[in-house]
Amino acid sequence: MEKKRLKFLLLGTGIVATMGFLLAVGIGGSGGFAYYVTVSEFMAHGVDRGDHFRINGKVAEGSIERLSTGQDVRFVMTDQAVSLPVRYHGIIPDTFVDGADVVVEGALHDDGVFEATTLLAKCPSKYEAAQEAGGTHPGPEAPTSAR
Amino acid sequence: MMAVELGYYGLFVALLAAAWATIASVLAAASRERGLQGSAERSLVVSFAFIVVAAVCLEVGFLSNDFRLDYVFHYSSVSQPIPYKIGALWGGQSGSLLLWVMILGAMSVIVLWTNRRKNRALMPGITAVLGVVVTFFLVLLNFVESPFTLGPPRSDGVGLNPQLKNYWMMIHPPCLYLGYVGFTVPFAFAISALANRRTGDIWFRTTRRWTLFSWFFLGTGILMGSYWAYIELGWGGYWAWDPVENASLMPWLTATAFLHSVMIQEKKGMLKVWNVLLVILTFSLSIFGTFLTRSGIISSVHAFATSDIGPAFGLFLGIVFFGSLALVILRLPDLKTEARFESLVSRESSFLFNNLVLVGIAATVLFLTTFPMLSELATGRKVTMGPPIFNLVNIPWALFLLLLTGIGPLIAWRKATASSLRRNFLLPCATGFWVLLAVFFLAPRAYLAGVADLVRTMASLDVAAAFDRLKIFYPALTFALGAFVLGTVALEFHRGIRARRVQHGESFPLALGLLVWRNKRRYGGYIVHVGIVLIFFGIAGSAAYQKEVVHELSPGEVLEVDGYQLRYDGYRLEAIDDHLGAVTEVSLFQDGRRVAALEAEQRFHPNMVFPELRDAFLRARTLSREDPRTYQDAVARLYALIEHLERGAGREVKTPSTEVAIHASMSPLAPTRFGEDFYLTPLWVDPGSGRANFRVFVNPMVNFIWIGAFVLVLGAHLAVLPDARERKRLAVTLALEERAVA
Repeated sequence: MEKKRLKFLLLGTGIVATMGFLLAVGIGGSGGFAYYVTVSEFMAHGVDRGDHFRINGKVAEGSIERLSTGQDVRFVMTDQAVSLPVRYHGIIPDTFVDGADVVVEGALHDDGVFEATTLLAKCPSKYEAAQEAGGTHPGPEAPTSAR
Repeated sequence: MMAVELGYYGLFVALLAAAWATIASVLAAASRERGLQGSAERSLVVSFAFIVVAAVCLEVGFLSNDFRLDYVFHYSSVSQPIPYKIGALWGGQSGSLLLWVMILGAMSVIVLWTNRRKNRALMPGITAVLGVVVTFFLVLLNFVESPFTLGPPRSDGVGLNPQLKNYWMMIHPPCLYLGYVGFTVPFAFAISALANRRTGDIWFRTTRRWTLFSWFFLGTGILMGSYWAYIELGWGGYWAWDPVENASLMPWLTATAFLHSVMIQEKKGMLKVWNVLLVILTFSLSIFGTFLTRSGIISSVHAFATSDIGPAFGLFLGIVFFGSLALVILRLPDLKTEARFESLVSRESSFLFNNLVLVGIAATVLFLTTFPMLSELATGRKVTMGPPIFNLVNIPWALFLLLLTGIGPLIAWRKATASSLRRNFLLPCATGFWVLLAVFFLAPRAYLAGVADLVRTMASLDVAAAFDRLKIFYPALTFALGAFVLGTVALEFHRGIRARRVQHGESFPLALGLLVWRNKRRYGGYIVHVGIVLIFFGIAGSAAYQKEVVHELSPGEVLEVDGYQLRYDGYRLEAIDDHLGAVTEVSLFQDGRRVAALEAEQRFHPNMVFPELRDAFLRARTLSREDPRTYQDAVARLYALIEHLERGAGREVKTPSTEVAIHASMSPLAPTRFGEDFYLTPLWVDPGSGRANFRVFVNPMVNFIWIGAFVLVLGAHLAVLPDARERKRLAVTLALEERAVA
């Protein structure tokens, strides 16, 4: 009986351990690892050029320059405080517009431009209008104020 | 006007009713007072009725274009087609919450109705749990995220984002919610069973159908979301390990584990603690999924505006999870197992390992998804985990799971003998082996090189690289293991049919029909397994053999891609609905034969804030029925105007989007191409010359995913159908339990 339990225990731990092992290996070296920062944080840290980064910010209004390949774009990313020029080659999501929240992944190039290999623009499911007309009045008094 | 007030106060009344239902049922549980429980049940029904009133009021707001409502303003517009006005209810956060709680309310009413004469001892506890969850959501809807907040009067709304105006996007969220919400029912039963120390079979037998139902809707919801992403987003893929996707996958995985392990408890009285834990985990993960996506704590492509409901969800989740856990610990003595595992080679063990792997994958996904949060807590630096890590860790386990899918249903209980193993698995193993050989001989050199490469990296002790080298074997393994599973299922069907034909002298179709009909659970399950195998095939084929080409073409030119010839015939400009665009017309040839005419479009949605652009666009739009020449010229001028405006304004005045064209090869005459998609998007089109930059994907076998989904739906339907024998068994157990109480 005890031997049997031991066998189960060993096999179970084996499964869990290999999973943990794969996880450790994956985090160590499969290329999916990236530091996640805002534009300010990225600029503030003495950035190691080679490191892989994921940067979160907004597209500066009017900075989008689309090349006529349909898959090359240059733009400036900002978080109000500082801005960072970005170059990207690849599929440009439809949600990528002026002022959009974007996440770029890649590394800083020698010429000071961030070379993005991935460009994510926020999904439209929680799409809020940029040109919102008027303020909103949240709170329980709202219905009465409308009369 | 009235609708807004009615809806607003309706939500408040619903909250009061739900709160009373909770209090009264807790009191009823403590005092065994039947009258109080009746009052609680009635209040829960009342609460549901008022939630429906609120939802109807919001829909009235949408249909009557009441843009004073902020919610309507954001997600609807005058020109929005009626179905999308209705669907816009769940276009945003507060409406989604409203839909969530409405579904939960409906389910609660069904639970109360179907159990009105049975499970009397469990009902107060169940009502209390349902009441708590309903109350929580109603608190959010009343005080944090009201869908009835008003702004100034506005003549038109922003409208739903064009990408969401898609049939699949309309039914995908409700489907997911049905899944998420449905897990509340088994959870409520489990908690009540624990609290009342009635941890027998009843709670999970009564809720088996609920669990299956929720599992089914969550699964189809996920698949629909993938399908939408595939046909709408134009990146040729369907899954990206985005936090929001992961959030829906995790409860599905634990629910799958539960569906399997509960069979062991049903048959053997084992794994009792494990099963309660799985139910708690599944429900918590459903809530956690909502928390993850709504709190903005983890960055996702799905930009959920960081909102105030994050902390509330976090708190609720903490109470649910740790409270339930404490209850389980308190009741451990009641959850003693009735049998022990006897052998590693038995059905019990194969189910146990299947559970370990499913929960392990869920845990891995959870860990990787929340890694940015964890790393920030630990080191102060946020670190994200990309898809490669998810794939590296999960694919090997998914393959192991596939193997168990074949083993689990056939292997003997307790301890399988060598002869039974031979009888059940010899043929399926052979099938898998032949498929493996066949795949190998399709590209022997690549595989030999792969093996050599693998040995080399293993010799250099670089584990990560070695796992990377394993990748090229995954598709072959998937096909072999899948064939093995299909072999086991075919063998089961064959044996069952043969037995019926010998015993009852039935014809083949009749024997097949009766076999399945008399054992819906079992054969429904097999069919679900076939669906899963097909989905695995589709994923393996499309992920491993996808081809991508980006090429610029002028009208009249031809591009050769992987045996297809694409001829760019021409283009036309158009201005309709809310966009202008260039429709590219493409003929697709295979071996000199024209197989399809495709139309893919590069669109621009003009920003209507610029009156000049707005007027020009509307004018061009009216010309669509006039002389084509004038129309084309008018649209071409729009392009010029946009360019001019952009230079002047120093910003973009258009939102681009693309419409994908897909040709699926579904002809059995070309088996090597069966299920393959030719997937075309124009990245950019010059309005003057028509010169266009095309991106082409060839996705082999990708349609197996959607075919598999269909098979899965079929199997799940069979498994959930009422079964006379099962009902009789449950009735007997219930009667026994009632007598024991009395």
